[in-house]
Amino acid sequence: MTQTELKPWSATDDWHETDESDGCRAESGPMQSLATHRSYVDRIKTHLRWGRGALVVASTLVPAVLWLSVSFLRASGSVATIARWQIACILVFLCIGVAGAVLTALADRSTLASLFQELSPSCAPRTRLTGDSVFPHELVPIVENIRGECARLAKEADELIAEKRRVELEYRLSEQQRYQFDAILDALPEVVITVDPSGELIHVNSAARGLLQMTPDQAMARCSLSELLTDADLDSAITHARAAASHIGPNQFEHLMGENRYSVTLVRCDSTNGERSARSTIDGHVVILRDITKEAEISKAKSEFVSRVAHELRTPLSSIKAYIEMLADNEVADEKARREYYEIIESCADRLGRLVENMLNISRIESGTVRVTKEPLSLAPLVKEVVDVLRPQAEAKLLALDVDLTPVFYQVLADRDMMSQVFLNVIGNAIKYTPEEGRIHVQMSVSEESRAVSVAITDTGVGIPADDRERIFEKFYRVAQNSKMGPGTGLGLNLARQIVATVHGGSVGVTSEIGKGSCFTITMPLHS
Amino acid sequence: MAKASILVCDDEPHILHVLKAKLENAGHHVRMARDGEEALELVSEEVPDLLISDLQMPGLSGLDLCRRLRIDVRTAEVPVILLTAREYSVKTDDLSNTSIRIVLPKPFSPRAILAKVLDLLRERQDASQRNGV
Repeated sequence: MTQTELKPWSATDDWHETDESDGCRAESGPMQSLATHRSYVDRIKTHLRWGRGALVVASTLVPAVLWLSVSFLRASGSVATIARWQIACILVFLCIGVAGAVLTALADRSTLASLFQELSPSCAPRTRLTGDSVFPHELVPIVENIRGECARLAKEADELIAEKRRVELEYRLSEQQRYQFDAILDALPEVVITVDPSGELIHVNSAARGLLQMTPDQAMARCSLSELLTDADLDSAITHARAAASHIGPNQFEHLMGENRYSVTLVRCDSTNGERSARSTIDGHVVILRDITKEAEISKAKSEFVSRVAHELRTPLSSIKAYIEMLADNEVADEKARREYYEIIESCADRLGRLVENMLNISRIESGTVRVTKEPLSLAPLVKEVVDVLRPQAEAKLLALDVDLTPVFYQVLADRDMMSQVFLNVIGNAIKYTPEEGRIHVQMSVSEESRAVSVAITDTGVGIPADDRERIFEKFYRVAQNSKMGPGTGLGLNLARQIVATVHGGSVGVTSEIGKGSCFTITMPLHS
Repeated sequence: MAKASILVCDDEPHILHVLKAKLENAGHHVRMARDGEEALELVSEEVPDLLISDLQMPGLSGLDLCRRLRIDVRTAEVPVILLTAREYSVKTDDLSNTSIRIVLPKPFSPRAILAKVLDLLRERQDASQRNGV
């Protein structure tokens, strides 16, 4: 380490100048130092001698010159000239004397100053290194060594501070990223659990904490998934799947936990082979549990619906196929029977058509794609039309079918064809489920107060058991003991309610008494 | 082959009538029941040689009817042809404790049904002949 490098710590550098101006080395030994002192003293003595000599010369010369000039002027000049000459001489000599004294004093002052600096504060041999610090000579190498070490440490400290800042920044960034990832994973409705190869938890999201009923302490501490999973079957399934899960793809299975069905997906998570740095490696499995209870229910309902539709379609289809075969095989007794077979085939084909039509209508209403043409409509003529259409059926069963209509100026805003379908279905049901010689009464009424028009269809039919009264509006639901009364798709009432309630904002209600009859009331808001 | 007494049970009148016509044309005596209860009544009046029944019927289902018949010693051996529009819903276990010999999906062919009926009647005849010997 050189002096230049030390400069930041040294206040002044004046010892070099002192050394060189006085011709002595700071590094010289004690004997040399003594000699230096002696030379200082000798120099002062010389200066004093020179000063004294100058004074002696001046004091000797002044009287001599004065005497010579007086003697000379007495002989040749005036008194005034002598006097001026004498004053001039005295002034010249005085100047010489004063100058000598001053120069001597100045020379001694610098010498003395050097001497005093060397001697103070004591006479022990010392050296000045830098700045204000003064150390014994023999300690200088050690001190310099320490100084060098200090500088090195200081440099290292600087580097460490910079590194610390960088690490802090990285940490803050990674913390931020971690919070972001946690927030994203916590926002997921799926349970996300990450475990290491030994089955210890690496990470759990909010949904997982809820499922595993983890306390915050457990969430912080490292614990194994097996300890937390109360469902032993799921635990063994996950353990098995983890063992089987390859790098190729996720492993998926379904699991029933309590009343909930979960879809469990296991994904191998291995970033050790990736390009990520060693710090961000992760080796384990991500277990994702998705509650599919609702999907499973929907899927079940859907397949039940399809199976029900298939059954409903197959029934008339069976008749069609069987009767056609009979006709084809000529297994018909006579022309009358042949005609009967054709009629059966036709009615079954009609039933198939109605079934398909009803299903399409319901599906269109449910999906909101139905084309509705609403217009101000008086229900009274519409009900009369429908009754007229159905009257032959009622007469065939010897049923009394009477209607009590409201004035035509009461109107509703409705789709004519759809409303016609509603009355066909409901009045048609009344005819179907009323034994022969019964009575069907259609009563229309208007309530100005509730701004609604009601059509009540009362029959003296078989009635609907209390448990079935709401279910009859479900798709394909038919009251078991009443199905003998006539064929049906189980869609008519569902369609009626969908049209009245969903499309027109009205309502369809039912009251019934077993063995006595039922009353269906269709209520529609009045159009103002 | 001698005339057999066959009971047909279905809640669909058209199906009943077509089966009745087909089997009667083949020379058998056919009785019709609209549901399980009616079938049991007719069986109690006279035990048939064979039963053709629909699976899904209001009240007593086809399977329940067959189980009931199986319990009674007089009717336990009556072979049954089960008709169904939901053949996939019939499990093998459901057929235990019944005499259901054949499950036929709807829509069916009356021709095929007659062929099965003849097979079963022949088997039954052979069995009774063996027992007789």
